[in-house]
Amino acid sequence: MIEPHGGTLINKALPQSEKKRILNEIHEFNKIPVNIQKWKEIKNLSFGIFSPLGGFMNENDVINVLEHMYLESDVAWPIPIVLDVSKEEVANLKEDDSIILTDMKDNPIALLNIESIYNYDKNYFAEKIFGTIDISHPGVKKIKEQKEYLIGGEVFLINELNSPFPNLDLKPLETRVLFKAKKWDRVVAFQTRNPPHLGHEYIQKASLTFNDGLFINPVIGRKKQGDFLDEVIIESYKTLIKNYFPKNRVVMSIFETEMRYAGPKEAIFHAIARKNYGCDHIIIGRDHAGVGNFYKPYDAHEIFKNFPDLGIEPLFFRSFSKCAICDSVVNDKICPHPPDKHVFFSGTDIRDILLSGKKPTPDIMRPEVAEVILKYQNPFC
Amino acid sequence: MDIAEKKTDYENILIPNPLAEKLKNIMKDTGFSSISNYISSILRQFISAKDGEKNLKQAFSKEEEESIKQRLINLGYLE
Ligand SMILES: [Zn+2]
Repeated sequence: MIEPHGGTLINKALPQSEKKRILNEIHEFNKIPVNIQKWKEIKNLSFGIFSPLGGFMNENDVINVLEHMYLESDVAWPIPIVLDVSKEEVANLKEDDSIILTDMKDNPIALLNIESIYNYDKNYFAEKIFGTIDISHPGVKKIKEQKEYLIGGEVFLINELNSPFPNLDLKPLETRVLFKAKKWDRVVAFQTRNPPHLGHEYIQKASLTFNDGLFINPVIGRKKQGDFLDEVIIESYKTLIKNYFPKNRVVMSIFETEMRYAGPKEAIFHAIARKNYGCDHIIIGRDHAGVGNFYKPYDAHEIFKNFPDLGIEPLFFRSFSKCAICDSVVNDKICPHPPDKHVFFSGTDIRDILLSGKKPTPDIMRPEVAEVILKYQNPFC
Repeated sequence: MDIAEKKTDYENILIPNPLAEKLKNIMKDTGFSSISNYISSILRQFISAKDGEKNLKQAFSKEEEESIKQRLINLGYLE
């Protein structure tokens, strides 16, 4: 099985005894409240989904990541993972302090050992991560809304966030045991934030043909308005798997993180997380993690050549469609027929059909999947 | 000091001119625009291949594996 990124699977969940000791002395710590998005990142840092990271990045790592897409330790990493805090919050803090990160109701989440406190230039961050400082880009907007300081340091998880899908929320240690038990040597990951149409099923099955197992790993968490509800994505995939996949070839589990819409860089980020789950291949389609027209359709393919040491291999897919003459789902490499013979899978078109309460044709979406989506009065965020 | 004003560390490595020219020629078809980035990429490939020769570490103990398997059975992931 593929090694975790950087060589070691990180585990920062505190043992019961240690947790008890800290909770007994909790009044002695400074506290900083963090929102639910940060709590999710703490979960990812704690259970190895972000291996080799075991905490929020220090300034040196951030600079290396922004400039080279590598950590200071020369392990590939494309996007900073940082904790932003306000001027007021850092006023009483210094390096080497241990603090408690809490939720908004003062419940402890994690212990953070402060290694560095630093300020940063938001435009520089945005330009380097997203290639733009245009605030119509949702990732740029989010950076502009961040607080003005960053704290770097290791985290140790005290309390786990309640999972929105507790039965579908495997940690990398669990997926690794699962893949081994299933005797899957080659596992291909599929990243998604949409219910499946026929084109998705086609690339999943094409990839699965050359691998032992398929890991469907929907991103659950803050997205943008108009995106599908998490529950709709999960329920529609359950239906697809039940009706159209052999049971012993597919595993679905969620990945709780927010979409950053960093296009190519997010494709690398998504690949690293899936490598930590134990996947050695990842499907990268057209405009992966893109938004609007900020990235070219195949930027997320191109970027992989900068990471010869990534470990996980991308499987690139270009455009795919339903061809009336071939009478099957095809891509531009395998079908010679003209565009007027094709039905293209457009997310926007499918969304419009569903919004009007109609069922997409079986050419585009499995009827069982469409029925699940249409059960929701409003399937969108 | 502002983060954007800082620079990361680099090491200067000298290679013979003819070799650099050969690399630049090969580089033309790769999409790389800087010889330094290209050489870094080649070296990373080399180092990663060397690392791959080391034995793969198992991330879990036998006991951990059994207790995780039980949880996976309870969740319906395993039979
Ligand atoms: Zn055709």
